[in-house]
Amino acid sequence: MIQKNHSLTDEQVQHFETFGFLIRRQVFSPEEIDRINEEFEQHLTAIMGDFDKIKDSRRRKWPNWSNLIPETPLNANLLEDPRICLPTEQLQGEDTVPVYSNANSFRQNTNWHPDMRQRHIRALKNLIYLQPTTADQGSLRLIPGSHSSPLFDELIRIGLRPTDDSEADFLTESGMSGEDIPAYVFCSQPGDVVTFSMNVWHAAFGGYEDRRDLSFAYYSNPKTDQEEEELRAQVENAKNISPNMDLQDSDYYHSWWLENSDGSAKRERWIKWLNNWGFIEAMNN
Amino acid sequence: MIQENYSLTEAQIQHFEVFGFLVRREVFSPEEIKKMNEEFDHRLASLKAEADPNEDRLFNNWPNRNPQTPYIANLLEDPRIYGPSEQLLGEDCVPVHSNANSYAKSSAWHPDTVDDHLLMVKNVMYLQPTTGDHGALRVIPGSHKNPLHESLLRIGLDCSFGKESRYLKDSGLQGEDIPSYAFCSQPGDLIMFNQRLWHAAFGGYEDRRTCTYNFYKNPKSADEKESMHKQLEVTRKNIKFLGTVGQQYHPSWLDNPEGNPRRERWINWLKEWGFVEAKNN
Repeated sequence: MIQKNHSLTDEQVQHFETFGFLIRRQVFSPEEIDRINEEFEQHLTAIMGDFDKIKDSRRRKWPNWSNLIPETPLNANLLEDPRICLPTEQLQGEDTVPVYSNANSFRQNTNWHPDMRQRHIRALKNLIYLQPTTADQGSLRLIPGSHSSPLFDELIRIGLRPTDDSEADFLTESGMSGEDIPAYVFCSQPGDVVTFSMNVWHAAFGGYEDRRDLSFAYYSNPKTDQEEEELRAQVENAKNISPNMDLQDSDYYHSWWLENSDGSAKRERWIKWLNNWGFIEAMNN
Repeated sequence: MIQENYSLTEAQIQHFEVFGFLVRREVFSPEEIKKMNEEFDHRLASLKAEADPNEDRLFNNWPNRNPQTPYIANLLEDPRIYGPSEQLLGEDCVPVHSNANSYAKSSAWHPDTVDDHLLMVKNVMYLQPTTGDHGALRVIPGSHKNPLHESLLRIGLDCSFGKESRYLKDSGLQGEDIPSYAFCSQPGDLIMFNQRLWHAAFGGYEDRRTCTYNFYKNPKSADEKESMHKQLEVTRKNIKFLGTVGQQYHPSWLDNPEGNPRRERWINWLKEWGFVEAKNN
């Protein structure tokens, strides 16, 4: 139920606040998804040779790169597409800023986790899956309401998140598999978008080679001391992200994107914010 | 993962406390389910034969504790039912309510209670296979606790007592669109849930069958005792609304001919709290 101006209804905002996520169907047309996939495909092909050569256990185990590069101009511009940025601004404020825009070609399942453990700074992720997903073929699963306490904290306490490559303590102790954890399964068609709080616990099972998504993560502009402190922790964390990605000697925030050749006022504001908070330095070094 | 003595593992208890429910698979054998369905068939047929054709009942339902369904009635005293319930609620918990239900349609979103001083666990057995679009119970994990429980009330999801959900109407969503976990089940599986948990079932059909066994925690604090008194009054109203046929505590069950000490304790509690008077009149 997308309104023509792409803004969310009151009920969609309530849905996001209550459950921690929102599904929007057929936000992008099949033709748009084809073009997005073409860009994805070309860049994936270009980096695969290097990806397969690198045998660094610290690296992410799947090809992933920044969308903010000249090789994928359409995907780069999705941050500024009103279908992505307007609903995000409705949910987090007009001064919200996109910090990450990633392309992922997964090769396996994604275990249960929240993206962010900080609870004051607000952050959300928009995800577009570029292939159809079902429960046993890569669907995102979300635990409704798990962005809020007590559920958020209880899932940490019982040990649902694996600490490393091993199985989560709760799964080992209970004999359950990740798929048994009660959750909403986002069965999707390309063109659907899920927007979720980065505090929501999520996972995906039935993974397969080259399971594709694009993700657009926006952070709220911090207002309180606590939010500022948490954001600084996120900047520290960012320093460890780009070395694990497949950036091909390119910067995460590519100079092509930072040049902002169209003079987008929104992007200008974003770039200033990213620079002031240290994300550009953290991610581009 | 049922242990031989039917007790729950620590992880199962954690699951119940965190998510508000617990699924246990193949607790009852196909032979036992067959017996239950046979009793259910007979009682449903007799109920239909006795029914006033002019009476408009929400759905066919009757208490399990009656002499026509002795096998189903005795499951209250089966350790597979009362054992885990006692683990979750304390050894002095009591089965206040136990019904057989033959639904004719879907069940819209609701919690059984909004009172956070009461701890009540419903054991539900589906007597036919269920799937997401064919009558499976759906639950919203963690919705037995605030803030999620109250957020769902506030946005107007509640459809209790046949009312229309304000949230579904305003959002244009269907009940099936509300994010939840669907308990796809085979006969013999059992789900136990905290009655504050929001739940529903869609893809309803004629004669969709469940047997329920509801245990209440024995109230200890003043708040809990006050809430239990309120629950008694709610019970009186619900009997009329649900159109339950027959007495919840049949005299033959109250007689306790085998002198079962557990049942004796239950009966004393039910009499003391006024449930026998409230539910049998």
